[in-house]
Amino acid sequence: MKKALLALALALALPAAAQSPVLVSKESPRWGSFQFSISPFSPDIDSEFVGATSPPYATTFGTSRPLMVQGIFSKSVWISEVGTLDVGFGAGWWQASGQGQYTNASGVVVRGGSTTLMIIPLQVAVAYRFDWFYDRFDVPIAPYIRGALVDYIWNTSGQGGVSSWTSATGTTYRGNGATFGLSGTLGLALVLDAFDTGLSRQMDYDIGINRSMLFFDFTKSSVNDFGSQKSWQLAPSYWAWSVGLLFVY
Amino acid sequence: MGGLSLAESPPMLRRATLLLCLLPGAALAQATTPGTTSALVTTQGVSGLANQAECSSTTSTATWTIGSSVTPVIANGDRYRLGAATQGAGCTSSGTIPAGISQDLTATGATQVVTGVFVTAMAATASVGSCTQASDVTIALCVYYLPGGSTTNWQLVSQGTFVFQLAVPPRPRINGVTPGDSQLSVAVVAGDTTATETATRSVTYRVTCTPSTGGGAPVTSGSSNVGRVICGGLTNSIPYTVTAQAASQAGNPGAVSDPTGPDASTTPLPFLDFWQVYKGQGGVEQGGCSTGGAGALAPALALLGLLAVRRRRS
Repeated sequence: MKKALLALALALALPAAAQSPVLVSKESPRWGSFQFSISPFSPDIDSEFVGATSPPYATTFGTSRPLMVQGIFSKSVWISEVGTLDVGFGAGWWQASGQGQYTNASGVVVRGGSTTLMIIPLQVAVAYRFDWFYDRFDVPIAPYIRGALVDYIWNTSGQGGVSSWTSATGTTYRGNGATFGLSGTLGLALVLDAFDTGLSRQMDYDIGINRSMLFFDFTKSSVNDFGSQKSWQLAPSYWAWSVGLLFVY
Repeated sequence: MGGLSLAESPPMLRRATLLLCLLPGAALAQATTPGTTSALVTTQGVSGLANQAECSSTTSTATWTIGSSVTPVIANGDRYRLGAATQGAGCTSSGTIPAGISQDLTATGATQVVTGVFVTAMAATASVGSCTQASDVTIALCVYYLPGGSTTNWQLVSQGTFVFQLAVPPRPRINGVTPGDSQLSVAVVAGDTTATETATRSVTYRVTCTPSTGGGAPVTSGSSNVGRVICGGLTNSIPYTVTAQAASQAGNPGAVSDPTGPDASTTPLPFLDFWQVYKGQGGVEQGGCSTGGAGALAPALALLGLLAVRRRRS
């Protein structure tokens, strides 16, 4: 009777095993990570105009915070029992749209035309992620910190394309450029693999993704050419939150 | 394997052999299928379409491009007859040859271009009726081959379709006007259809901006099939009256919209964009790449990257 039950169990199990080659071996070697995120963003350009009744950014684009989308590719340079040190490069996109202004003879401001401010944020980032909680205790959280050197490539446009402004002395300033700065990030990632370990192993086997995480973080940054007197502030005045997904591969 | 006769072969094989035998016959039958003809009315230039004005004009002509299923011989006096019929009846293929919409013409080849075919004759032959009716009328174009000019031994050798696009688009509505520097951006939406105004498949809009006083001549925008139409080349600080009009694909103009303005929203002004406002208020940013220490970062990072790549390769 026992032999018959064993044969039946084997007969049922073998076809399933043949269809889905779930690995029971250790995970594949880690190389790095990729993440993408979204974040409400509003540059603190108006910090130059403290006390002004109609500061240029808020008057033109309002107080809303359009979403900035970003992605970072990283190489893991040090993997230990405690965590992983990643060095990466990131890029993104952000744009605000608004209306131009015209002040008539009576001093009344009339709105019209279209104008935009677009930013392509680039960054070289170093991040350390504490994998210890999940690897050692199966607690599916991974705190992380990240520091980055950022370069915001920006462009302002009006009705006729890239903006330009000519001063009273005849000097023309084109409305595009690049501004450097620094940023620091504190975040917490939720390790999604903990919720379906079988699927996690299958992803590693199929496409080499060792770990998937949902993260939420806060970033404080300063993007004004390191305090240059000839630069505006393109970083937000606040700790900017972002949410996204991170894949370790 | 050898020695198996057709009668002894399996049923599937027999059917396949029979099919192979029938294929040449099917190909021969296909060779007698009429070719394709198209017509282009020269005034508005959209192939296969005529508008209301062309339908009723006594001078409007079309160019027919005939693709015939037979190759005529000029020396034999072979001729073509151009005909038209209602879409429901279609081209006649047997019996008495229908009357032509023009005189029979010498057939010079299997493909032939015929110019100067009067549109009114096409409409009359195909019983289009009124050229101001609310609905489009599709007709059949027919080309008959008369070997040696014979009207008894004739053959339908080419056919096509042609649309009298008689429906006019509904009167549009102006949903808002945004002033710009020497221009107005006009949001135009399709109006409601009425008994005499039918929504046609493809509609373009045109906006006319008329200056109130002293602003020169009215300016009409180019055609656009999007919701916003730009009226450009205007004079700043002059209020304009804005109207919109839709046109069907074949060029039937619809009714003109209710006017908007003249008011502040229809007055173009030299608006300053964000950068101009920022600099005008004394903003310190100067544009361009960073200067000083920050400006040196980019080449420094590029150099570091290059060194890293070279180190990996060595």
